[in-house]
Amino acid sequence: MSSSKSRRFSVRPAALDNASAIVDPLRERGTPTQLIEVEAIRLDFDPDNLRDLALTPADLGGVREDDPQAEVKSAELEEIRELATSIRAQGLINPVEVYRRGEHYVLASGQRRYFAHLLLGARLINASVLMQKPKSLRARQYVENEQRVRMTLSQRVRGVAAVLAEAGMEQAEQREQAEHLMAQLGMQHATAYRYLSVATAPEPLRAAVFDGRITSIADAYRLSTVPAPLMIAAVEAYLGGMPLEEAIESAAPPATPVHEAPAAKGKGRPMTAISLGRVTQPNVVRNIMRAVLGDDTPEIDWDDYRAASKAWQAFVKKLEEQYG
Amino acid sequence: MKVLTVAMHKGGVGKTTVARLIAAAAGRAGIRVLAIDVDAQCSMSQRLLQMRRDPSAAHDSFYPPVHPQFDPIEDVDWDGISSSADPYFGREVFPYPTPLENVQILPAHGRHLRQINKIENGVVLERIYKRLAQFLSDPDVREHYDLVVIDTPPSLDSPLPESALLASTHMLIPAMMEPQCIEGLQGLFSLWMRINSTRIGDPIELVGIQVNMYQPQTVLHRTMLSHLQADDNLGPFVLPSVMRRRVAVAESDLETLRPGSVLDLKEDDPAREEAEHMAASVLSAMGFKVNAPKALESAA
Repeated sequence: MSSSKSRRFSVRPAALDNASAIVDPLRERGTPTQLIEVEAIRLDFDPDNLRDLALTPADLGGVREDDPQAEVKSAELEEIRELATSIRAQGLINPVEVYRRGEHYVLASGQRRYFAHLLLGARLINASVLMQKPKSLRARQYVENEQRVRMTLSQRVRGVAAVLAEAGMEQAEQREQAEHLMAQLGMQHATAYRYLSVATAPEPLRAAVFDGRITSIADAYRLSTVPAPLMIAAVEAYLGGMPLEEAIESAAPPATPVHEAPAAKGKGRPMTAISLGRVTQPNVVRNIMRAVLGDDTPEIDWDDYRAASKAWQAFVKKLEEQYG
Repeated sequence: MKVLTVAMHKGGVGKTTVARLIAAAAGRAGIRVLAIDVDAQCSMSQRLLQMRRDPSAAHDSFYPPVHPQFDPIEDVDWDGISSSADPYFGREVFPYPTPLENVQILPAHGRHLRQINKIENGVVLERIYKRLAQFLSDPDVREHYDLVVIDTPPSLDSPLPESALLASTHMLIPAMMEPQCIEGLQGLFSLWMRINSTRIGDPIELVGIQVNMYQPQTVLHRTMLSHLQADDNLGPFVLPSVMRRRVAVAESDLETLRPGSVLDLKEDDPAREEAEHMAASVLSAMGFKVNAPKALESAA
């Protein structure tokens, strides 16, 4: 037993490799990094474009209304304006991290601080110069952000997606992805799977998380487990204010009516029509009609049961005429 | 004045026990010690003071007793209670005496520290990070103490560990040789390196990784320690004074034994020898003149 355990434990945990890599620069220089002032115009973003923010320098003067990411960018800009105010008052407490590339420096972490300096019109920015480009840049940024401030769900999920993208693991098996997150970010097993499920969920759910309309990981994860065809309705219902489980239930298709077997000869009266059941949730009716009619779905007050019933009856009649 | 932060981002590794032992040993060596408890669980405070349960708090929460020097007639502007949260709220601070020789404590206040933990506003957080450093740079404080030992919460979500580190000259990391603790090293090293990269003046010295609650009879512990010691980067940080899991250490936390300490056990008790060795190693590494640690047999 003891020798088989020794074999199992003989592989170094990845966390040890990560911790070792973090202190690796100390071996060569004896100090972690060099602290200097860098001219803001000599700072570039990472060439792989693994950006933390949707905002670009061009947005700092104001986000265009027709920008498809206007809402997200406006929220980021507001956050950066607050940071700029703080930096003007207190100075920059934590320098950005950069690494050299020719005559320029590439930003390894601190995008918000960099943007805040641009807003202030600052010519110079305090920077810690790393010896080389960090191997796990996105993982480093994630851990750094987690240390500094309580990240929002949107930031965490974006961070997770970016860490996977950096490692080229977007299409990897979920188990491999989870192991990577556990190793790189120190996440627990269950946490890794939850964030993975949300980060790889279909668009309506991911969009709602990214733009901050869903802020609870527990709720986001629960919604991510709803089968894809029903997820739109469930997310919509949840965002409309319905409690989570109710929203999920409302998206479920109505129970399939039990068809009575054709009466055996000599037993009972044969059925001549099919019962389409009875529902108490107007969303069920609305979603079925939407799935069939698309944009032709009538615009009615779906909370008005009488109006919803009339619309449904007209819909069924139309189908009967069409397929009769 | 030296300031030692005892930090680890995982709970249950014996952080408070290690901090308390170092404070006690330093006090016995004639070093004037201020222990600061910034953990909302009030673990260190409960070992050294008769903390009171806070009925108004939602969590199981404690707060300090009335200060023994409180005079209700003279002290009109003070409610008689002082805690480690006071510097963060801009209030005056009154450390408490403890049963340990030469050791005073600024105890935790569970509810107030939890309020600090909840702050999310970036501007306010930046001020919080600097508060403890501002308090400890006060000439009055520096004149009264030779060593400050800070016990921190095991939480990545709190600004208090970073606040403690920003105020510190040294850091000690107690760690169990188990995967969760090894994972916790990543965040802590990252924080230490980042803080040092911004320091003007001397960087925070990492005294080392203090292996704690070690069980040499388990393959997991032996293998993890072996991996750690063999690592080129981390190996040099592993302190030679390994502390084994000892019942005597847990027993010293019993209320009925207070002010119990393993340092009061018989001289040849292995728990006492290990604790003295550990404390002497740490204090020597920080530049204090203490009796040289007696060599112990190897942990493996």
